Amino acid sequence: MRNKLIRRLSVGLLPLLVPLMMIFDGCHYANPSIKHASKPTADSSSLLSYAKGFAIFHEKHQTRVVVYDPWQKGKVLAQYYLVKGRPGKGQIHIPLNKAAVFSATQLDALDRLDLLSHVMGVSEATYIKNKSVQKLLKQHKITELAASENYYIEKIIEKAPQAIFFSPYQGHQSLPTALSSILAIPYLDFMESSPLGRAEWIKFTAAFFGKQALADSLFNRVEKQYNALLQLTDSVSYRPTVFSDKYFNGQWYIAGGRSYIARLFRDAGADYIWKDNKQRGSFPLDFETVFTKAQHADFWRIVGTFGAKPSYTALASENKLYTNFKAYRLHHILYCDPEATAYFETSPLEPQEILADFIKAFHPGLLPHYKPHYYKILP
Amino acid sequence: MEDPRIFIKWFLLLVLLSLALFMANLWFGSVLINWGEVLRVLFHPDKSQSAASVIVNAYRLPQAITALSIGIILSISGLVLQTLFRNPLAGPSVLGISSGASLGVALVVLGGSFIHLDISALPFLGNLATIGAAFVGALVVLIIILTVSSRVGNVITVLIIGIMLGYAVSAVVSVLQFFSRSEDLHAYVLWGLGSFSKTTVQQSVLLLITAMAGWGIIGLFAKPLNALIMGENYARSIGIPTRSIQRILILLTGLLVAVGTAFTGPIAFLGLAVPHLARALFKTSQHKILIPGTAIIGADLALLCNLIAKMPGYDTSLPINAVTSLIGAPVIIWVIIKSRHIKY
Repeated sequence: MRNKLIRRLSVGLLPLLVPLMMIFDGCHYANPSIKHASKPTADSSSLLSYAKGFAIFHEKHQTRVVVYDPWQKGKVLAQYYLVKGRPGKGQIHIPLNKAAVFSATQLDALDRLDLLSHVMGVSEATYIKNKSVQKLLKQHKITELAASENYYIEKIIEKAPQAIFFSPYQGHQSLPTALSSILAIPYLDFMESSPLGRAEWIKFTAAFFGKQALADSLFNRVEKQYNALLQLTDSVSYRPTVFSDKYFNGQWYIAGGRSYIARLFRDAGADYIWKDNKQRGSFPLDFETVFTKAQHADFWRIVGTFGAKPSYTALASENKLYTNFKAYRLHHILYCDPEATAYFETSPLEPQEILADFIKAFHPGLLPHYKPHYYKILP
Repeated sequence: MEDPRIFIKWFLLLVLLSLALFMANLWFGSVLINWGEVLRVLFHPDKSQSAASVIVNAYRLPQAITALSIGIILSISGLVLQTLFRNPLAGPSVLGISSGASLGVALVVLGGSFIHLDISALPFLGNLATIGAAFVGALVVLIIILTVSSRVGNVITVLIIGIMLGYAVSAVVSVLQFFSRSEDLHAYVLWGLGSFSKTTVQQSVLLLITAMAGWGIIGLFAKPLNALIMGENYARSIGIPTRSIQRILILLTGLLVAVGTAFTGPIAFLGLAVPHLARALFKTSQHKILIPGTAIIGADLALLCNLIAKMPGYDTSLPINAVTSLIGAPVIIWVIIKSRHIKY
């Protein structure tokens, strides 16, 4: 059952995965220890500072992009040789101009890089929040090519994209065999547990469209802002305690101590209750355990929807046990409405915004005039 | 008929066991709370809401009451259905009632993918929406089965129709699953794993009252059930209105299962396994004995399964359905091998 669940959850479509991954704060794969290959020391420039899942090498006549297998240390999942001129054997001509992109986060990256005109197909069209993509869908310049667990195989073959950016999951690292004639490019930003590392995947996307300079400058800005915020919290003497997520059907999925969100808590000057945990993904705990450890925590972070009006009453009606947490009684719930903020689509590329939101909540004195973007304290 | 004193001895033993298991459910959990503390917060709930008080009174207590009630509800329903259909494999799930509940929940949890509205996320609905949907779904299937049973004469036909209905309903659920988002799918799968820990104290007491009422009412039917086990013709010949008795009992068990499933999700195996255990233990087919026997064994087994699922001392817990199935399946096999001569 569990295996089936994980398999079903891990569909190869990122629009599905991203929300899930964010809910679970990191990867949701069964394998808790996801290791990456050590960074290659190569002949090349444009080495990455944070991302561990891919590397870009500028070689003599080509750009080599390597994607590492997040599930097997040291193994390369895929490798691409990109050239701007005439492609030789095994080389790919860039920029791609008819790509299918199945991750909503990657679509957001393409939008920031002004590359949406190079996209011809998406998955799960109805859930995409990006307005430009929605407009292109209405104009039939972009088509839906997959939804839920299904690739629309015949439609994909008919529309013949040059490449499909897809999200592999453990055990399913390629597209259906019927699509083997199409170039498949895995997009694994969600496996990065460093916030800046996840944002750095914009460089990966850009490489296939010859927009590296723009990606670098966009990323540098994010990095600068993030690190400036990090300096603010560097010397805080008081670190409020925080925990995360909700109880559901007998299980409380807790983000691991080495997860994306745990890192953001730390960087925002908070003390995450499970900071000593060694997992990158999430793991289920019993209510009793969570309650005993987190009942006196100062803050409680929740991503979710309570309908139009999220409130403490709505939370209590969902589960009366919640009212026993100190963070509930103090009205210290740090809430993000993913529908209203397009959190799952846009936040991976702007971790500095999440960080600032967190700092505003944990240390309001440090950012007195800041207006939070994704996370607000529920009034 | 054996010596009634032996029955009384067994009943006493089983009741004591259920008391012990109930207390063990309050005592053990992921968090270590010593026995004295458990008793203290149980009988003198403090206003300060200490961790122990919250865990024992608001978490472990409703969970234990729910387990006990569901054990009774499902086991008695299983017994009645096995007798009615004279089929050892009948149980709450075969009439399609649990599948009906699953369909209701699937529509609420997964249906959002179709109509692009997150019903379960609407304020105040969440939990209640699932409970309501499960109940309505179960009732719809029940009504269909009752309508059918009033038209066809043979009770076995009703059983087969129930099973077929279950398949049809599962097919609809799988289509819904196929097209739904992973978060919704996750929510639905978790619901399907069942849980005794979703109820508040009030809800668990409500379940307990339902279980006791169900037990009491079904107890009134002990005699007609004894007659039905000999066959419908025999029952009619001694003046029992078999058709209306069958219909009333199907309605009754259907309602019981619907209420139970609504609060805990489908719980596997208890309803099927416990009547066999009771028959093997009491070596009788007298419902006067079997009904209370099944009810108490059901409560014991559910409490035991819940205790195992909690994995005392570990930070995490197992889904209850995994435990009931792991315990239930070998029990059934053992009972069937040991007592082939038992009459259904």
